Formats: sequence, C-alpha cells, structure tokens
Amino acid sequence: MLFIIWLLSEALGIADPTFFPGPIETIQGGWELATDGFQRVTLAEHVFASLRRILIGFGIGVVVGVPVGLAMGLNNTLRAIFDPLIELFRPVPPLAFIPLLILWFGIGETPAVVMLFFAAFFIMVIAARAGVTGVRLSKVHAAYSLGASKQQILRNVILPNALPEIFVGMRVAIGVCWGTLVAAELVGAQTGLGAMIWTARTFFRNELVVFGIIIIGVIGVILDLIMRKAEERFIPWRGRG
Amino acid sequence: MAESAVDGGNVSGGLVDRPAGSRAVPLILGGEAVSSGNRLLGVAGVGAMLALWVVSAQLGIVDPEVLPGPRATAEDFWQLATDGFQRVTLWEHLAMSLMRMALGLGLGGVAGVVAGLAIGSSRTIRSIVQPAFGFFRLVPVLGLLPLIFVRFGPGSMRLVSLLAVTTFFIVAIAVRDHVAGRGPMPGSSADRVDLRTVRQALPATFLALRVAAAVNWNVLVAGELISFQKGLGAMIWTARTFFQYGFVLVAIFALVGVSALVDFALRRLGDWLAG
Amino acid sequence: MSNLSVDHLGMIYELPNGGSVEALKDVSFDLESGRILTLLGPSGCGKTTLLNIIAGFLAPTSGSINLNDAPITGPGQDRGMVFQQGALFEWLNVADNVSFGPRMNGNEGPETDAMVQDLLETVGLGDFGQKAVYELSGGMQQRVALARCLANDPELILMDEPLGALDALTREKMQSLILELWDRTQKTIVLVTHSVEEALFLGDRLFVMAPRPGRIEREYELPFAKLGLTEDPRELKNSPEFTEKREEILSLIWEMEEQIMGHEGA
Ligand SMILES: Nc1ncnc2c1ncn2[C@@H]1O[C@H](COP(=O)(O)OP(=O)(O)OP(=O)(O)O)[C@@H](O)[C@H]1O
Ligand SMILES: [Mg+2]
Repeated sequence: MLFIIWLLSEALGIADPTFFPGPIETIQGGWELATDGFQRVTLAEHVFASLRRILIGFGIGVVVGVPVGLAMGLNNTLRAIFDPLIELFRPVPPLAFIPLLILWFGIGETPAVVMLFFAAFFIMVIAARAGVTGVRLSKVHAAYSLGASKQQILRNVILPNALPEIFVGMRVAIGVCWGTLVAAELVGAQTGLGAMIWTARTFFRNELVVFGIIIIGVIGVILDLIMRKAEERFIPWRGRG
Repeated sequence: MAESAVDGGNVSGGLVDRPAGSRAVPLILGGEAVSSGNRLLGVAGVGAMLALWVVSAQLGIVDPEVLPGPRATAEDFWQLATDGFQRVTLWEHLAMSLMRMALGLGLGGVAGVVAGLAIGSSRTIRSIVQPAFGFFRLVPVLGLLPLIFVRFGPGSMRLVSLLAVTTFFIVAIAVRDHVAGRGPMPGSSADRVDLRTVRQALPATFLALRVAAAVNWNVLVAGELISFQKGLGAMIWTARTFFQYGFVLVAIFALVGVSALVDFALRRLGDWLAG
Repeated sequence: MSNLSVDHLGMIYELPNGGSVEALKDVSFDLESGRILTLLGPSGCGKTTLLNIIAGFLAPTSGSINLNDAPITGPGQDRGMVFQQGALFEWLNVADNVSFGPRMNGNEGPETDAMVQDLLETVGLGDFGQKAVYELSGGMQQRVALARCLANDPELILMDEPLGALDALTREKMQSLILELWDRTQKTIVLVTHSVEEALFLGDRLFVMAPRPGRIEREYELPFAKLGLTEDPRELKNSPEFTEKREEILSLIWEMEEQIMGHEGA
C-alpha cells in the first residue's frame, strides 16, 4: 500500500523528485547499479563486501562470545567479576568505538570487522549466560537424581537448554551487526552498501540512496528469516519446555 | 503468555514470539543484577580494568597516541566541560543528544501507545495493519539511517523522526501484545478502551521504552556521527578528524553514563506511574 | 529393605536481607519399605523442602536423615524424583527422556531400548517413543516423567505435586496409575499434594503439615490406597469413611489457615 502511494505521488508529480525520488526513477537507478555499477563498482560487489564483513565479525563474535557467556553462567565468581564490566560497556553504541578502532587497526577492513565482533560479542555473552542461568532447577535436579555427573549435566542438560537463548541472541546480534555495519560503511569505507549510499549522496543521486536503503532492508529481512528458519530447524523445542 | 522484548536490531525490538516464562528482562537490556554478596568482586573487576589503564599509561607501556591515559582524558574532559571543543561544550553535545532521544521516545511512545491500544482492541484495525507490522518488524532500523540524507521534512527533525519510528513500533507491539494477552474483559465490549486499560499497559509500555532507548542510542550516535555538528555522535566524529582521541574516550564515558541514566529514569518513572 | 529414617530434622533458610525462615522444625519419622506416604499442608509449610532434603538437593541445618542406615549426603539414583511439570528434557524425544538415566550410567543398547519400551507400555505410551515431549498433553508428559524415574529402578520415588497441573479427569486416571505402579513395583513413595482427596486416596500414610515453623501436625494410617487397587475409585471416594476423614482434615487445615490469617492480621 505504501508502495502504491509512493508510485502515485511520482506519477502525479506531487513529490518533488529532486528531494524524494519516485519508484520508477529508483528502479531505473537500481538497474543501472546492478548492471553497469556506480563509480565502477556494481551492486553485487557492494553487497558482497558488506556480507563478508558481517559474516566474519558476527562469526567471531559468536564463537568467542558463547563460551565466555557459558562460563559466566556456570561460574559465580566469573559472573561476579565480569558482569559489571559487560554491563558497563554493553550500552555503548559500537559505532562510538570506530575512531579508536581506525586508530588501532588502520583504515581498511579490520576496524569494521572488530566493531562487529564487539557488537555480537556482548549480545552473545549475555544470551549464553542467560541461557545457562535460565535453566530450570528441576531439570538439573532430575538429572542428578537420574545419576548424571556434573560433566554430564553440563553437556546433556545445560548446553541444550541454553541453545534457544543462544539462537535468539544470534538473531538479535545479526540484526544489530547489519545495521551497525551499514552505518560504519557510511563514514569509513570504499565498498559496501553504506559506502555506496554515501558516495551516491555526495553526487546527489537520491534514487541510488533510496534504492540502497531498500536493498539494506531486504537483506536485513533475509538475514532475520534465515536465523528464524535455523531456529525452527535446529531447536524446534524452543519455548515449549 | 508473557512475551517480552528481545531483538535489538529490528524495528520491533522483537517484542513478539518470545517463549513464555523465559526471562523478564529483554536481552538488549542486559543481564539481571549481580547478587549483593558478589558486589565486591564486580567492583574489583572494574577497578582492575581502571588500574590497568592507569598503570599502563603511567609506565608508558601504552603509547598515549594509541590510547590516551587517564590524566590526558581527565584534562580533555575538563577542557570539554569548561571551554568546549570547536566552541561547543560537552554539555551542549549531551543536551542535544538527550533532547533528540527524549523527543524520539516521547513522540514515538505516545503514538505507539495509541496505535497499540487501537490494534490490540480492535479486530478490524488489527487485520488492516498487521501485515505491515510483520514486515517492518524485521527491518534493521539502522539500515534506514541513510533516509536522513533524503529530504523529507526539516533536517533537524529527520533523525528524531527515525528515533520516533523505532520507538513507535517497539511500543505499539508491546502494548498490542499486552492488550491482546489480557483477553476480552467479562461484561465489557472488547472494543472499549478506557483510562484503566492505559494504566494497566504502563509497565509494558515503559519496558518497551527502555528497549527502544537501548536500540535508539545506536541509531542516535550513528545518525549524529554522519550528519550533525552537535550531539555526542557528532562530537566523536569531529574529535576523530582532529585526532583528539581523548575526546572520543570522554564521549564513550558520557554515553555509558547517560544511557544508564535514561534507563534508570525510565524504570523509575514507569514504577512511579504504575503505582 | 529400604527404610527411610528422618530424625529431628530442621531446616532454616538464611535470607539475603539478613532474616531467616524456619522451613522445618524437629521433623522425625520412619518410613518402611513399600509404603506410600502423602504430605499435605498449606502453602509454605515445608513440603518441598522436606522432599528436597530427602532427594539430597538440600542439606538440612540440623538433624539427620538416613536411607537404609546410610546418611543421605547428596542426590543419588536410589531416589527418583517426579516434578510438577517442566522437568522433562524437551530437546529429547520421549524414549530418550526415559533412557536418560541408563544412558548417563553408560547403559546403551538393545537391552535398554527394550526396557524403555516396556516402561512406556506400562505407563500407556507404547506408541509414543519417537514423539517430541512438547507434542504430548500434560498428563502424558507426567507419564513420561514417571517412566523416566522408573528406568533407574530407584528404591524411593519422590513426587512434588506430580498431578498439580492436570485437569480433574486426567488427574483421576493418573492417581490410579500411580497406585498401580506402586502395587506392581513395590516401591516406597513420598508424594506431596495440595488436594486432600488425593492425599487420602493415595497415601497409606498421610502427614498433615503445619507452617511457621514447618512441622508434622498430625499423622494418619489409611486403608484407601490398598482398597483403591481393587475397588472403584469413585465409590471409594464417596464412601462414608473417606468423606469423614476428608472433612476432618479439611477442618484441620481450615484452622491452620485461620491462624495464619490471624497472624498476618496482627
Ligand atoms: N531457597 C529458599 N530460600 C529462602 N526461603 C525458602 C527457600 N525455599 C523455601 N523457602 C521458604 O521456606 C518455607 C517452606 O517452603 P516450601 O517450598 O518447602 O513450602 P511448600 O510446603 O512446598 O509450599 P507450596 O505448597 O507452596 O509448594 C516457605 O516459607 C518458603 O518461603
Ligand atoms: Mg512446594
């Protein structure tokens, strides 16, 4: 419905096209971008650059964050020490660190990837930790009464019990990472969708800006759907304990 | 079925499809408080971190060009607090960010409550807007950020409207779920919304506002960073272009403080209003 | 011969705010093998606490507790536990839930599989082995919990409001199932319930407990559990003997509740 309003406004010339591009113009721009590219870089290359960054940063964040979160959930001392630190830095927008990261790692791929790593890391630590501490005591008790050892309970009760929370964390993290990445690319990258939008903007190519936003939105939705499907596939028991 | 917010990346804040009884506090708001017996260890952890910073700076282990030491940062803070940088003081940046945040939360929150009540209590409205909600819920807000480059409305309000839109969806979905979860009241038509309904929805609303604030700090800083002269995000970026990394650290500390403060204020306000 | 012996048991919880709750005070009893004991009492009188101490999840702050003359020092598979709900492992299917105990002990293979199938048939779930537990109704889930507990062949079965979350009809069926299993396996059972009727029907011994401090207020020896094995449960529950006991216990509990209210009013 929004789309129809958008289309009508262009067709009837209500909206000023120099300010807000209409759908036909946007689609034309998108087509040009997809085939010839803009500033010699095609849409696919931008998308690929962005996806590569997010997969590396998010991936490492999950791989490191989950064990840390599990350890914090299992060990009271670790939790007591690191909880306040995590709580302290968690609310800071990852983008605030970007100047320091650029200073430390130089301009290039690394700062953005490290930033995404941190964004995912905090979320995954909290998620994994919550997954562990959220285990129903009666489940652990039942396992003990059935003769399971501590190790066995960890492996067979606490870990599977934490999985839903971990998956939810991954879904949250990938959303945060995607948005943050785009914002980071706006200010400090040559490739990627954010960079493409930034360049398009400096050349007053508003239709490319709007097209980029749509692509970002669509990819965001796709990433989310992938995570949802993965949840359905790997943890069908989620929320049905 | 008590659903609560989880997602941070999406417009909804993920206030839907949470399994029942799993957690009272949404993921994006972090963990539950540490039990008081362990406070000391926590203080020790933070203290150790600070000590490391102080010592490494004192002993010159870390190049001050790479990470400004505590003294340099304190001096930078003092300069920012009194004279300011580029003629703008820290307080002006802070006030600007806070104002945007407050406007975004306020406008989006009020609209969200109204929409949530309408959707939650009326079948007709629900069936019309539900699909749009379903889709927008999945769109990462930050991805919409470049919209502030596109001229729609006055420039200074664009970022605020983005914050308001985020807030709107998060709050509307929370209120909708609250109203829908309560079920039709016996003896009253399901379409009736009175003051009591609003009051009952307050806890859910304020929890949603806290989620929205958490998501919005990201959006706010990103937005200020790419296109404004004032605000903490803008300050970070200006500092970078002048290689004033101490200012960046001050901004980070300010963000830690102000986000905690806003969260605390929202929680208190919610408790107070809910009685 | 299993024999549970509880001697001057006391449990005081320390609260984080510095206060404390005396959840159990001077609780003593002996329970011979093969008996079924039901615990009844107002909320907060220490039923769960007592059960958790027997299970070994909690250490009492005073007194001693022995099973077959050996002190209970922690959880063990000689004491199986059935919870009200939510203690099944929802990531495992029904059969894997039941075989959890044997598997943790390294017993895997056709023999275990056969035993699991046997148990599932005993609780009336013969065809449900491959189902996910969350696909089952509440009553069926409790059957799985019973089977899982029996798979380890414990001497003592502890149940904390096992039927508390079920509808009335399912509940009656499950009561009969518990009696049937009790008769067939000759296990010792301690069962906590909030329902006077259930406590009377299932317990061949019954303790009515009182709160603040948690203690055993009155003990009963009852014939109904044994009778329930052969007679129609409905008729039994309507018999004059049964209703008389029920009224007696109900008024006892009413008195307690009134005292509690009085306390709170003062
Ligand atoms: N972990 C704990 N810490 C502090 N106090 C506790 C703890 N567990 C139980 N209590 C207190 O001990 C008393 C007995 O609790 P318990 O759970 O054993 O009662 P119950 O008879 O099982 O009650 P219900 O019928 O509600 O299940 C209550 O006053 C309760 O508040
Ligand atoms: Mg209890």
